[in-house]
Amino acid sequence: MAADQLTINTFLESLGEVAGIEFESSISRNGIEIEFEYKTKGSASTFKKEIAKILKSSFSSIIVLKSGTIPERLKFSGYYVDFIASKKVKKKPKTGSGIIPTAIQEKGTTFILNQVLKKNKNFKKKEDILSDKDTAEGLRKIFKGYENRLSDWIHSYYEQQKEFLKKFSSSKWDEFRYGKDDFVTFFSKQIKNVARSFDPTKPVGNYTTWNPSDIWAVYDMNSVKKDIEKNITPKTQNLVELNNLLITLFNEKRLIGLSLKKIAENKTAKLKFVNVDASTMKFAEIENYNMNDLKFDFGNIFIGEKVTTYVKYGRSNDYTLNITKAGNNLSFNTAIRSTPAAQGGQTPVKMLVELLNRKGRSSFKNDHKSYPANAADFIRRYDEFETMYKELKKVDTTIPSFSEFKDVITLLYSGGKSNLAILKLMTLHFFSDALKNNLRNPEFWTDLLYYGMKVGPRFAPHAKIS
Amino acid sequence: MNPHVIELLQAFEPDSRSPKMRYNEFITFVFKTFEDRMPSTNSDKYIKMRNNVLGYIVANEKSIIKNLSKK
Repeated sequence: MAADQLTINTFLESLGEVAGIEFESSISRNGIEIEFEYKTKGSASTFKKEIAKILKSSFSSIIVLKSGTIPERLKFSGYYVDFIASKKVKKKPKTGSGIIPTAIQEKGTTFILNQVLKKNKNFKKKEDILSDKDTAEGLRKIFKGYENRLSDWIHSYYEQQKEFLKKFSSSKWDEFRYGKDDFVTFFSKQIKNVARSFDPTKPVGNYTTWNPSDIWAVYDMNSVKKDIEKNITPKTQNLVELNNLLITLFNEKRLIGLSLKKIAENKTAKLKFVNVDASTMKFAEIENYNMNDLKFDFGNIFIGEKVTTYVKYGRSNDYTLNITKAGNNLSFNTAIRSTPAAQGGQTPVKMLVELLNRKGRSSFKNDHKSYPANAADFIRRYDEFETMYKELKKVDTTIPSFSEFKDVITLLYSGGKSNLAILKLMTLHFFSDALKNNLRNPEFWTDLLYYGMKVGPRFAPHAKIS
Repeated sequence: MNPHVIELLQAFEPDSRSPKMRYNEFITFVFKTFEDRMPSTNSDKYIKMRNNVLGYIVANEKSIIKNLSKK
């Protein structure tokens, strides 16, 4: 029966991964097909055995057809579950498509800055970069597998080195490093010993939630490293102290963290100091926003299968907070209109939850397991979500009725799209808690933006080239 | 028991062995059955009826699970 196929297929889709192997299941003419990739024959057999075991324990009608001890096919109600296995091959990077890995982009900047500062290359226009044989060869090596995308980055590299030289050409710098002995790696290890606050101790978290710098300009690396190690020993030092030390090193031009953004072809780069003194821990235009400058675009919660929602800042939507799917949970990303080629940064979820609880209480959790797993759970919790819905209705009266919304969500659950239903409910929960306590509090919304852009005393001083 | 629920229980054929999964399957089945039968006019009345039935199933989970175990 078709219903059997649908139920078993939905069940398989909800598993996602079995015995360490990710797979996809789909309805076929004969029943259901499970497609998967395996590394060894042994892992393929284990996978098939596990699938058979799970299905047999969940559905009474499953019959396992074996070849020796290995399940080859599963039978149910006149249909079959077939395995389509293929051996995993190391994929070569696709030439000319996909996103250039961040490591390649950043290695490229490091290389260009070394060419300029250590090999005295002088690039007066962007064409000069590829006209220089030595530089072109080096970049092609870095972009191996993505050679035909190199030209997309030349403008950014030209603008980045131009802006860097404007501010720092008179200072002495060691060779720029990228990889295991650079400052990103050094700080990623050291930051574990640093606390954001004490009593109770709140660790900083990982490097990226504190520091947006992609590469570091340093003079006399060993002495700088010693100074920092001295500052964060004994263990668990205060973040304010570390940030202050970095500000001193920044002002002495001994250590500058650089946050790099791709520069759109028709734009020139600007270098901006962030978090180096009180005036650079805030942006004047963001400080001036009031609630009339904010737009809440959360329509996707209530219709269709899209989940991305937005908070837009400024008359011309100068900044945006995008709330979207990241795996099974949500991510909160900032974007700046003046640098359309790059994201502003991600708002750390821990800080977002702290912010939600600053004024009033919030029960929001960015954890899909806290939300209804199926239609029955959702129906049981109708009242809870109706209360949340009402908070959003106060802000936008044009959203569909709660009854219509319930149907959208129940249909997603019933149609095997529980993940989408959950993401919509999570987003509803976030907006409900945020609006309930902050409908007249622009500071909450601008803080969300600052956290994403890593602006403020909680974050590391850096120079942003965007 | 609600007569609509009795009728739906009779029409329902479970795939799962686990009582909890059978129950969840049944809820999906009820929702879809109402969707399939939804008239193009006067649907508000039908939606109300559907929501009442679903509310009943959720409020009487234990007895529904017991009924489903007899299948």
